[in-house]
Amino acid sequence: MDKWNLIVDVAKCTNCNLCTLANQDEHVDNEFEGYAAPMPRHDHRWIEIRGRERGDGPLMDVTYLPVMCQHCDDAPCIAAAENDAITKRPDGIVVIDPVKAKGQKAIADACPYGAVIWNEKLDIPQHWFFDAHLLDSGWTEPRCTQVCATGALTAVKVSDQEMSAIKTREGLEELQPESATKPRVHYKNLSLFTHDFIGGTVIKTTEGVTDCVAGATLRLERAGSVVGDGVSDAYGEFKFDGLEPNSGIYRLSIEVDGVEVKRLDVNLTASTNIGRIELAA
Amino acid sequence: MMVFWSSNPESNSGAYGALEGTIRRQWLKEAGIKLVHIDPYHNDSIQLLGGKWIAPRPTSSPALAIAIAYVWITEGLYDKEYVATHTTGFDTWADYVLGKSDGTPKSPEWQETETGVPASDVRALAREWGTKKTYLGAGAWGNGHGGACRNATGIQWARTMVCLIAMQGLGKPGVNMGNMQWGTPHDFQFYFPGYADGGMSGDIHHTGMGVQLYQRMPQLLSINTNTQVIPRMQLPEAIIDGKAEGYLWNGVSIESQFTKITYPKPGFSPVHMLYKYGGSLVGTMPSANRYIEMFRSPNLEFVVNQNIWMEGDTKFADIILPACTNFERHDISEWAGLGGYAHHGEMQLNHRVITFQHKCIEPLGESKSDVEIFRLLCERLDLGAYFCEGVGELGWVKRQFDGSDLPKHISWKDFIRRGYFVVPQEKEELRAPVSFRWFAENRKKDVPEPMPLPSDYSGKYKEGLQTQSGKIEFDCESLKRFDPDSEERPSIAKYKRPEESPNAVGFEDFPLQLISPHPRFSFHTQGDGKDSFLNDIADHRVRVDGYYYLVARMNPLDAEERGIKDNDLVRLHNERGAVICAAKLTHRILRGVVHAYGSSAVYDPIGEPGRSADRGGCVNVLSSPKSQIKKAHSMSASCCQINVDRWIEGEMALPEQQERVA
Repeated sequence: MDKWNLIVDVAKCTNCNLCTLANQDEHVDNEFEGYAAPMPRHDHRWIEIRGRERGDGPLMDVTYLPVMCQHCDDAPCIAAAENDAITKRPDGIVVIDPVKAKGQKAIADACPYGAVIWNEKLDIPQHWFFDAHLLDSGWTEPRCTQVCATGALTAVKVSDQEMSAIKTREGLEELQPESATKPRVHYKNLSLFTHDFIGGTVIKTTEGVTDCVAGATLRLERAGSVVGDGVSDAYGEFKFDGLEPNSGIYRLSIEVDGVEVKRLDVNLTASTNIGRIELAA
Repeated sequence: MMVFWSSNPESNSGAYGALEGTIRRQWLKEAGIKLVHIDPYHNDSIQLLGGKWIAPRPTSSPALAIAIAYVWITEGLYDKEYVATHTTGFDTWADYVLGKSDGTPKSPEWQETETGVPASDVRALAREWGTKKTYLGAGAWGNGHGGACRNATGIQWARTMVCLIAMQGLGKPGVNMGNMQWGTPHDFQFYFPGYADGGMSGDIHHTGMGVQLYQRMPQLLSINTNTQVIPRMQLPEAIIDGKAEGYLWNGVSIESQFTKITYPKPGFSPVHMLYKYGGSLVGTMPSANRYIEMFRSPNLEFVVNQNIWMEGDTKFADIILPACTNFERHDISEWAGLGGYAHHGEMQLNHRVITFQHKCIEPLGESKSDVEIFRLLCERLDLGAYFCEGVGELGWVKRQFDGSDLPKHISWKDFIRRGYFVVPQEKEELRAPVSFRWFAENRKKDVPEPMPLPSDYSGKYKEGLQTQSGKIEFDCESLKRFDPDSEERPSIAKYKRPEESPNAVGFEDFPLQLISPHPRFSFHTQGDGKDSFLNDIADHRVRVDGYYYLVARMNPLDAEERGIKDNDLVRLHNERGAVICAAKLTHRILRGVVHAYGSSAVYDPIGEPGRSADRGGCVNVLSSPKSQIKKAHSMSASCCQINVDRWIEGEMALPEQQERVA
């Protein structure tokens, strides 16, 4: 049967917060019997947006990562729950019963994603439950995807087989593969958040006038093997992305018109903007 | 290629346009069109769309623009034929750019000391721009609200933007101005009044009612007949000092701006009472402590504040009249329909949508709708019937409906039942033509705009622009006539460093530039404070010790020098006042610059109002009250000089009292 999945495209999230605001609009002060108790007015973001800044001016980027209940097929919260407090529905959605889960803080503690939030006042664990109450009343998608204007969040209801094909085709990844929970939330372009880059600007001074060097050929190597090749743009800028964090020494060589003109080493601890690289005149 | 210059449509697109234009800008990215963003802040549009980020210091953008023109002139990278046939005065401006008239060539190296942008970047940009069809998104409706157009060099910047696009052939295919926000192909023949069209009770002065609505919906002229006006930026001076002068803003013609206004107007009464209606002045107006002083001045005998919210300056009123919310009254409106001075604002959306707003509940407590409050006041003056013309709120909604083109498509009852109407899209063959294409191709003006009015053409109706020559004037004829020797606004666009700038005399103690653009998550004071969900957005406000402080973004190097860490409470201050914010350290802001959103809805002085630090986040307490130039109506508030230090409650609970600095 068809089951729900959420696809998060990290490259398209711009931190507008509409998903979170729509979720608050839906759930603050509103109770949906059998699904969820009201969420508190403040501090409880069932859809949290984490931010990461890489590099520095002018060669930098900022990436946002929406994190919510991953609706795992192998959910640690279900294992931690007593009294059948959590249901894995046939459509893949995980729902925590607000009555049966009362007092079970272990449910919140069990989530490796930090996506089950403990409501101190009501003494219950709460989470983004895919707006199952709306889907059950005929909605074709949850509110967070309905308001997303950039296409960063998409809800799809397909068979597991079909989803598997989509994952391969779109290069979707799990947020934390090491958690091994079989999540139903899948991430695209996740490396923008998890990986690092080395970038810089190639310039050259001729007769006292400094210009950007466009079309310089760059090669990045690590431990003797080629990591990637690139070409500087009109502003002399280049960027090698998707590098493993803290992956040590990289060797950057720069060629202009087929002749190597510069070679330098970079120790990658965090995304690095080398800055302006002056070629000899 | 597309250049976004002080333009951040992903933050405040088109004002009122939400994220409707986002998909069109994503198409740019998908189509592989090169993008350049010029902004001291790595703004939300750069974050989403990517591209080359060029970060000039605030107020220096005109220097960058003039240096681009320098490269184009010296390397022959501009449309010489277009400049010869569609513009005047280019040689005079070129002499300035090349330094022939003042001895200073405005080269990329020259601009580097002003902007901090490497000369090599400027040459690379100028060469790309000069060899590719380039679309320019320059502030304005893009929207860089509160950006380069609203600081001390805003007029210079706006003029240089026109100079640049004129040099590349404005109106030719691919060469135009816009932000991929306005310009969707709607049915512009379908009429529905916008918010600046007046709309009821003969509100015909200073609105766009005369364009169409008055003919469609005749009304009694119950307007105030008093012609005395006060320059808006000088309301506090008018009250406290009893006098003010400025220049009129009037969209009817270009030269209307040359009209000087003085207060008090001879023969008229000074102001005794202020009837305040709408968003808070404190928080949204420059040098906001002046307004506090005004409210507390004995010259202002009586203040009424009619408001939904207890926010900002509401508490400074003698009488507060609680207005109900829009959920408690009927209304009718077109989304983003501005009317008046911003014709066809709805074209920033993907569809024209007109909504009937149902009253959900009766007004709570003692609150009443705005119209009902005005009607009850008028009744006491025996003017109730004259004001309301015999109808209530729903009656006015019906009259707007009848005055629009809605009845041609939907009945009143169906409209109420459905709650909205989407105007059918224009047939492709009837779509409005591209802006300025007529001008580039030497045809009569063919775009659906009411301005310029027939008398404003120097030549024949619809032929040429509303300038004296009918062409784009690098050397402006109207300015030569109005104020030929002006150094502030010379007849050609020049760059002049503002008096309030880093290292300038008198600002030695305030080395940082504070930029305060329109907020991303709230709108004016709407949505901010008031225990709203926005308090939970860490990029808007941050809770420290149980209080939600506005975020002030600082470069990590500036913060380190001052011993400031992430989420530390900091005091932003200058001689105009002090504001306590929560620091956010980020490389997104250029070194030497602090970024905090304007328009806080919370005014919360920790001591004497107007003379102590505000912890509500009204950064406009710090901004300059000055007009960009003396002989025009303008504001320069989007950038001011400040310093920042750590603020520790208790140790500095009552900072030194601030004297008002005019």
